[in-house]
Amino acid sequence: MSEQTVDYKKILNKIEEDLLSDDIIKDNKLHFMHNNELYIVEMPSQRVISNADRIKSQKYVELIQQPNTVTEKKLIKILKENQDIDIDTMQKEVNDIEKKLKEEYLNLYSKRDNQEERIKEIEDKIDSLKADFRDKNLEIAEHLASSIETQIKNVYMEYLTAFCTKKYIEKKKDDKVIGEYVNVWNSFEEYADDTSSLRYEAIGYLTHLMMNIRD
Amino acid sequence: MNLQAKVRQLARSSYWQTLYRNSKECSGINLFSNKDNFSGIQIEFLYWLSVYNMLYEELSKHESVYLTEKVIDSDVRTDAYLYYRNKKIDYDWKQHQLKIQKEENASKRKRKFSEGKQTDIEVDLRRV
Repeated sequence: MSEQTVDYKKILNKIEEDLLSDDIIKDNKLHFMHNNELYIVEMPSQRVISNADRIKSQKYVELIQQPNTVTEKKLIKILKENQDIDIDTMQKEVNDIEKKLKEEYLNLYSKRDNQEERIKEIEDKIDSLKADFRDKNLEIAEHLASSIETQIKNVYMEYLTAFCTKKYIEKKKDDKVIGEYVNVWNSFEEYADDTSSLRYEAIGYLTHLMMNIRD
Repeated sequence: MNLQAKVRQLARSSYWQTLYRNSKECSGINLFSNKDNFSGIQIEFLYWLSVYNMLYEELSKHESVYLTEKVIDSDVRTDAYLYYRNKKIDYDWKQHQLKIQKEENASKRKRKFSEGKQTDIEVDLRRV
């Protein structure tokens, strides 16, 4: 695969647009186009999940032995002491936003359909609180991205993506054209070596397909 | 619109609600092409199918003055209604438990009182 500059925002926008089709629920796969070719990501089988669990455990053992990798708990401590970044306070802020959100829900439920202005006012407040909630959680996630826990979660999803992404190809057999889906990458190493934006797109689709039901 | 909003929009549509109601009665109706290994999106969709099914039933029975068609059509108003509904169920359950507890305590007191009287008499008799 050719090396490309990866525009993550563009990838995310594309995925979000694609996922507004009614087809997203019809089966346990998601179809997407990449460079005018058709791909799918599908739900992993038990065998792939078991292998991904094994890879995750191996990665954990590998990371805890490395001098520059730290657990989430330790990273929170380092961030507070060395960078003046207080994750616990940020988490408290997230909890406060959640509390305020619930208060707004209690303001909203009793509003009658004809109280349109008041409803709009509360809905706007809720939207803004939800945006704050998302931003704050993203900020926390970014700070903790280098922790061992985040790294092994990433490896797990990458492994699943490597074996659950397929490309549509057409083959000629006895003068007939037969279409089939074949693996994009033949091994995890092949996936890891791929520098194209396809691997990032595929991981995005698979993450949405699984909707964090498993990790 | 995001993925969750799309899933909810599909789940509350009359097409999927009708299919869902019928699939509960007729085992031959399959909602999806796959029969197992459901995706996260499908599991989320099934959750919202059942939530909207319950809300439409409540709406048809006029169970709450706060639940209207417009509430169901708005994700944020539905979230607010569901939050209130859960709180109300929780509150009603606690009140019910409190009532049972009060009744039990009252009957215990009654029993103790009558048992207590007998004990008093026994003690009095020994002293005599």
